[in-house]
Amino acid sequence: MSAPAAGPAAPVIELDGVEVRYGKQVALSGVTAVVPGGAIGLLGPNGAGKSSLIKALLGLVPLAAGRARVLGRPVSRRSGVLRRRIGYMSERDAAFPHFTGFQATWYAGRLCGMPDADARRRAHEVLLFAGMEEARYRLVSTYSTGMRQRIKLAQALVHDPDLLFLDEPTNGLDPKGRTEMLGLIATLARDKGISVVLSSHLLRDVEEVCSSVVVMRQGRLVRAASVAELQAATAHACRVTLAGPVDSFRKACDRRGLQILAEKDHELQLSLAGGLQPAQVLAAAVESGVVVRRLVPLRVTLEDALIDVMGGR
Amino acid sequence: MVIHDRSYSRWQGERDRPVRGIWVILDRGVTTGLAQIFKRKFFGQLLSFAAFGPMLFALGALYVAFYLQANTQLYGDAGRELAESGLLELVTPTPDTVWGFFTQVQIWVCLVLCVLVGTGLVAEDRRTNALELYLSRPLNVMQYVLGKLAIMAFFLALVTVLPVGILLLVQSFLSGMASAAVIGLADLGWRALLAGGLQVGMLSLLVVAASALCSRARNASIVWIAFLMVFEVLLPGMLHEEFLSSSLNLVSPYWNLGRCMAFILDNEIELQRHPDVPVAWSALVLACWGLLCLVLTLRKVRPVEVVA
Repeated sequence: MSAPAAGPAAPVIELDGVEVRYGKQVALSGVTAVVPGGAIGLLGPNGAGKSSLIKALLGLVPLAAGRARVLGRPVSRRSGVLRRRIGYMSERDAAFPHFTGFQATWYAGRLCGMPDADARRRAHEVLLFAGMEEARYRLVSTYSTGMRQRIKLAQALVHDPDLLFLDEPTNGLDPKGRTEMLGLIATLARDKGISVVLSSHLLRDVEEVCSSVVVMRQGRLVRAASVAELQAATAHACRVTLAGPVDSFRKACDRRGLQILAEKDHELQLSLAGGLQPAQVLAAAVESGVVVRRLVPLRVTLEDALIDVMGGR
Repeated sequence: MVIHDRSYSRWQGERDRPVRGIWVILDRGVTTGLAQIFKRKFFGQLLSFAAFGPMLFALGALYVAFYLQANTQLYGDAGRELAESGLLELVTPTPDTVWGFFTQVQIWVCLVLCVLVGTGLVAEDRRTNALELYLSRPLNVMQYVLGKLAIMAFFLALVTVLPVGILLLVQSFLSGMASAAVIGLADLGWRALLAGGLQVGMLSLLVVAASALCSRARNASIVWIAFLMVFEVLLPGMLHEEFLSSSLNLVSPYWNLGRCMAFILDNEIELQRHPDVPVAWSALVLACWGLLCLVLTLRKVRPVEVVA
């Protein structure tokens, strides 16, 4: 019988002091986190240990220390049962030699233990889903970069995994291809109940698709939180539109410790750093006798949040 | 107009089915190998003729001899003359002819097959980064290597063990299934299976190791041919010239393989040629070569390339 898919709330990845070494070089050090299901972004600069973490979770590289569980099962180099429930799209250009797109996808399914007929049917289905219907009978070696990314996605999906690791899936794609690829990933994560771990250094990709992020730097975990949490933690400012004398409002703000970051006509940007709340802005308005027409928190992009988390500010 | 459903649907099949990774690799590898051989149709046909021609010739000679002897009233002494001509001695399965068939007749086809099919088995996967694809599936390194060895072994067995098996079977039928003859052929049969298996296994290990050392099939072919030249021709020749001792042939994997096969087939003629070298030494050297090849292959088949 098919294993039940992990719900979005259940943790899909549990890490406890995970350490990975390549010889003397430490790739991951003391990584501890509990990652819920859904779409998870794995963020960090080049060399942060994102790919090493994915490879460790797949059992491709051994853990030097610590323990890891994926979909409730312990990770080891012999975790064959686990790998049947995981799909992996490699960062590198990888293909089975001498195969057409269809053969490569079918073969990937067969290697996961699918019966021949099922693997054939699924290969056609996922190739259609990935938008490869026209090119599926061509040799993979003749594919463009975008098509290679799509065939890699199809190969990762053919056995219908519960968890999908995507390592830089939009690498080398043009803007249209990138949008389409992100659309496919979002569909899988939001509508099909497949948990997706999207490793990327392109923050916009993660922002578009993911509900939570794991931020890494120099082989260490910096932060694991939902995108909303991360942005809220960084949203230390608001924008207020006033009707009335701005001067008196400015003085009231000054008395309450509200710093004005920018001002244009009757629109002001105020800093809420140091635990200040928007209520303080309203109180300043009442005190100065101005009417608040609009009060909104400043939208913080994931990039802002990430720079903040990484200590860039 | 055909309307395709482009949406993603979950697979409802059985997920706990055992994965037969070795079998899947073998199945696909045989298809790809045949495509490689018959990429140039004429060459494929020529290789097939070279592979099965000797067996067909032997079958023909055995049948003609049987037919002539069974119809002496029609053909007079033709059957006896054929038997006396020495041709039948060459084609009738005996320990000596089976040994010669394995090590002197079919070996050339085996070496060509090793270059055509074997050298690309791991090297091409390394070139295209397919190792990562294989090993991120429910498949471990040993299963992958065994699958690749099985592909090579299949092709080698097809041109060595299979023809000998057919010859023995036909010889049994032509002997009228006389119990003494059948027992003798059955004894030779299992010995031939064992000796052929040793040859197939050893060649597979050597060529897959050569393939694992390189990241291109062409480079692996060069390594394979260089290996044969050094260990089968140059080194034994030079050592023999210098020290005039056949025991120095022990460096050659194929020489040792031939001696072990002669021992298994109980081929006294071949064993008497080098009485100064015990077969146990050859077996030991061969085991060391096999182990070295396996270790080399397993070390080179890694999902992650680590650059120091």
